[in-house]
Amino acid sequence: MGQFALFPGLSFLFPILLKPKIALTLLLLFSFFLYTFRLDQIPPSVYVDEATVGYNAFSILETGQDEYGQKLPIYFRFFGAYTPGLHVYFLLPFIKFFGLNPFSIRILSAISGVISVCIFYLLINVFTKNSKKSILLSAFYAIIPWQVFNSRLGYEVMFAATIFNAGLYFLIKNQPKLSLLGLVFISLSTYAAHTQRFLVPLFLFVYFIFITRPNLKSILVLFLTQIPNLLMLFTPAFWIKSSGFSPHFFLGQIIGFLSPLNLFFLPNDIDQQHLVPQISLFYWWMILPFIFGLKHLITKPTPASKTIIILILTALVPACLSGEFISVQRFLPLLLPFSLIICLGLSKFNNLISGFLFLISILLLLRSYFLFFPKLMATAWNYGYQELSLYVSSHPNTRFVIDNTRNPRNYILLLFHLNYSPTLYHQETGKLANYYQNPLYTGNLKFANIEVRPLDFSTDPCIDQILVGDPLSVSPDQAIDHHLTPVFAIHTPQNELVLQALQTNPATACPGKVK
Amino acid sequence: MEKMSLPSNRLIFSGILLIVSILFCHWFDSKPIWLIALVVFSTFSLFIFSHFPKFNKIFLLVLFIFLGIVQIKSTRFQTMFEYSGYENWYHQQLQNSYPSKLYRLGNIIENKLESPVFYRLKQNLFLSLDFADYFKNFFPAILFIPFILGLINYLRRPNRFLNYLLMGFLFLFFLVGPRGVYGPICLIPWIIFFISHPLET
Repeated sequence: MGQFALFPGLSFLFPILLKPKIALTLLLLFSFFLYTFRLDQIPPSVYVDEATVGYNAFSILETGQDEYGQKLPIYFRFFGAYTPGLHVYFLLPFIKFFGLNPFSIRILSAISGVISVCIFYLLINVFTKNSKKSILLSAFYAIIPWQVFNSRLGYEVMFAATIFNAGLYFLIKNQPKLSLLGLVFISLSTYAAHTQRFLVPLFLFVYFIFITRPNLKSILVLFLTQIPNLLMLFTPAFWIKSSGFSPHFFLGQIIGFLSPLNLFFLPNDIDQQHLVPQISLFYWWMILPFIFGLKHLITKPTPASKTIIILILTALVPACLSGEFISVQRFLPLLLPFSLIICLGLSKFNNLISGFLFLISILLLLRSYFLFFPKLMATAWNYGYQELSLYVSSHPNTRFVIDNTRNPRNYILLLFHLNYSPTLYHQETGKLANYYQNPLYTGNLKFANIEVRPLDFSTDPCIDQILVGDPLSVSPDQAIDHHLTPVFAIHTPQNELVLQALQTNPATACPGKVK
Repeated sequence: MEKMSLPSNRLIFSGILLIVSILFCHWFDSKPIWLIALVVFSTFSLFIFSHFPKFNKIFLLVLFIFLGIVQIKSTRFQTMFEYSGYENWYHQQLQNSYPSKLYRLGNIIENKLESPVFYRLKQNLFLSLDFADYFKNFFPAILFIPFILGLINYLRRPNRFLNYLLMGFLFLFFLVGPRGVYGPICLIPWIIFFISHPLET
């Protein structure tokens, strides 16, 4: 009963909660609720990366081809990124069942998040060897801001991390059959996200040197499961996210990420879309259990703790090599080992203090993620395109030009929100030749009654159409000079202008040149 | 932390790292001579104490108290009781995010619980622990590797006296923050100390 003394007011529940299976089931239900509550509204809008995953899954479902007309690709050419496609294929049943909407593209990450809580419980149990304590520590993992944030995203990062973590657990169990299963999972994770594609070879290489030697079966399993990747090895698509090695830059990224300021107080990710107001990757108080847990991990070396240390060291490498700036999402494989360290440190805390910290953390999460995040980060999450799509679809005979100067990927948001027929889209834009050799892409497109491109004030005001853009696309002076009439404006919940639409008046703006 | 039985080649390696990190530390650039002397002297004292624990603790303590006084005297204090212009605007935005029914609750949480004092203390602590800042501005990035190894080695075999000393300085930074004319004077000896201990255990 000692483990439950941290919730003194709930003593009547003790006999039930003392049964680990019931407690674990309740924890998973709680996690499911946390990761799916208002999932269609928080995050506040559909981000371009989510829209491209969703629309390509929709296109595969409808036509068997992605948005560029490629039949069942291994890597999807999202904006020239060639993202491994397993996540897209796993989304198909959800889109078939729920339709193409924010909920259907995010539910797979939420389910992955719940499974990852279960995996975390199994993993921490290897260290604590106490199922009740492990369940309580897993409850902390379930509410870690980095875990919650990624479990509610409509793209592949949490899905890939969960497959990798499942494999890691089977490897740590260190039984021949389970190890083989672990290798299958770890190998499959390379088909789910870029990070795992670069992490897995490095991790397994170091793992095989320091923990266990591979046998013939392991090598065969790895070879067979990597055939599709090997087929892609000599295409530009395979190497698209590797930015080359510079020791200074590499170390700078590692230092920047590992800084306690970044982990516990204020993330230094330059992408606003990755940020939640007033909260970082972990709660600020977790720095203390992190230090205790780190001491525990390094002073009691076991094969399991060595595997975790190997994962930490190897996960830093691909994350630092795959881009110019720190992106916390590329460091996601570190969520599990860092959380493990924090929870190992937490296991040394007094139960009453742990209970208090849990309640405080829940309040911080509710405040930052469910209250501030949808309102303050709406602009970073491409707010406004759903409303724009509604307007566009209700005016099928009006011509729209949508400015993409500051958001060259915004065409996918329109395709997503309009649920635009992939068959029609393929007819209008044609099929891309040399799919895997063609990383350069353009976001300037024409489909339906929409043209997406930068505005051209020498010709656009002379055509009868509606010009749509952000507040910088058309200044008030330009609107007057070119005789543009405001039609509608879209604001965020904080009343910040995100999109404006202006009707051209060719007769007055360009007399004699009207098209 | 019995270091008397250390193999001498490790001690020499630690000593070389200590000298290298002092020579390549940009923090010493354009600082007054007396301050450089004080910090270097403190660093060497810390290093000697870690290897020869019979070294006088009181002497080390007095030296670091003196460093602490210089740190406090040179700190540009930010007021604890109110936000700066931008922070004020941002916290107003946060408060405006509460639905009208919860506006009073928001006022209590944002202005009483998450008060400027609490925010400033957290900010002080984490700015003091910002390795990224130290290894981008004061030390060559490559020294981050021996720093982390040294930190881990220290965690494996900590010294109680040094623990108290380090905690004392972190508490000082928690209160006053690292912003100042000379920067984080008190932490420089510790960073060099950790850099010089990658092979201790």
